Amino acid sequence: MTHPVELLAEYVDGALMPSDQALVDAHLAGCRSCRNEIEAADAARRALSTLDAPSSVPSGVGAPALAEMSRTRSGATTPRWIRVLPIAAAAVLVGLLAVVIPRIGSDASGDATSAPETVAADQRGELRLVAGNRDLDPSSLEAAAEAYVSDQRIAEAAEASGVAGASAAAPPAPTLGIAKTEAALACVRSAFEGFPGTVVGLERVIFEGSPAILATVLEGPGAGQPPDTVSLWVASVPDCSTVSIASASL
Amino acid sequence: MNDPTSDEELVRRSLNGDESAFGSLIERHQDRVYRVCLRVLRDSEEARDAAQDTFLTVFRKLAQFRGDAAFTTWLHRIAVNSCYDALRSKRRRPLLQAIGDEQDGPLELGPPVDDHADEIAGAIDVESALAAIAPDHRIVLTLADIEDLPYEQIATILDLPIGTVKSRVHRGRVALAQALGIGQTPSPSKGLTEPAQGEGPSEGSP
Repeated sequence: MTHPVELLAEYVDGALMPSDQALVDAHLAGCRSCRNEIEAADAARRALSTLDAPSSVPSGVGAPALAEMSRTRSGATTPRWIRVLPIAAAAVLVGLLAVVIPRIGSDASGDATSAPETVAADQRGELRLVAGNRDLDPSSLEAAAEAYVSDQRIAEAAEASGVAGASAAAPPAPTLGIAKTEAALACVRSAFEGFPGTVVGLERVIFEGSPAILATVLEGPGAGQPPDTVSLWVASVPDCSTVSIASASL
Repeated sequence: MNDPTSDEELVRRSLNGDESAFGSLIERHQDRVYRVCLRVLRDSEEARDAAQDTFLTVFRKLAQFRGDAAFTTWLHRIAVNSCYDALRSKRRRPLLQAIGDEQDGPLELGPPVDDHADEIAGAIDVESALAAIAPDHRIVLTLADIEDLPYEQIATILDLPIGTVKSRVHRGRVALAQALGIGQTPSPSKGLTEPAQGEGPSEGSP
């Protein structure tokens, strides 16, 4: 005997056509299990009807979408000039900062209130803020930049040898939603305003005991050329000031 | 609803850059989106995040809305996908569980219990039971029995054959009943969130 599972939901709903109703009735007359299921399903359906509506929707549910619409309409996208900075100037700037400001702290950069609405580039749509809890400091940040480079080389070697999926990586950390990702991206872009590069990774971290956002940034000569430098930017939260930076050559 | 402007008209105006139209669209539907997300995710903050992501996605894909289906169907689809993303990122439990939609046999239940409804009302926590069943069952019950959407619309939202939706609704209800303590599985090894395959009587049932 075949149990008419696809008809049982509508049987409980009382929504079957008469012919199907008769078919199910005939089946139920000889099938105790289906009778039990019908009773259970009917009780569950009635139980669900007793649920109260959830509390009212929290404010701001539509705010990120409306803000993006406003940004789009006003034409405020990523400043294109960032991408056409002279290569030498960019490299010198990044190299200098890596040496001079391993940790800027929250000095004069506290004035990070200028509009951080420069999130159109990077990897929007693919980028997701990782809810990590790594504990970093300036030296481990340097090590992380080097580790990124070696990971990339391993991945490239695996790809070149046709060994797909060879990465024996740990399971991915949980990621957060689009709105939080965009807020984190805006924060690091604010902290590192004017710095070139494409953000390819965002992670919540603890930097020297304080919450921060770690951005992985690829920099290159542009004009279709592949990136040649990876930089790790650290911005404090919630004030979005520059905390540290490290870079390595790819 | 007092605003007579159709969703489709608000979409058209939104695509022309009318922010107030898009705001109206959000205002009109934010309750239902948040409600679905809250039922599925069981956490108000996660539900708020998923609802925010839903409307961001709606904005970004608005031009792709062709009007082949109702706007609410399209919106629900995006909302459910946002919920799945949230569930996936949390890795609370395997998403695609062996629900057994294709099996013919019903889940094995114990003897029927007389009139359950009165017993349910009150003491038994339906919310907790809903939280205990598989996410796929929770989603389909949320859409069918809480939001009262027709099965055809749910099939479009979930991109599933309608027969699968009907089976899943039935099995979800049975799983919920078990979580509520209505009908005991004969074997304690049969978990509520992972309906076993083919455990009902199959061939040769009376």
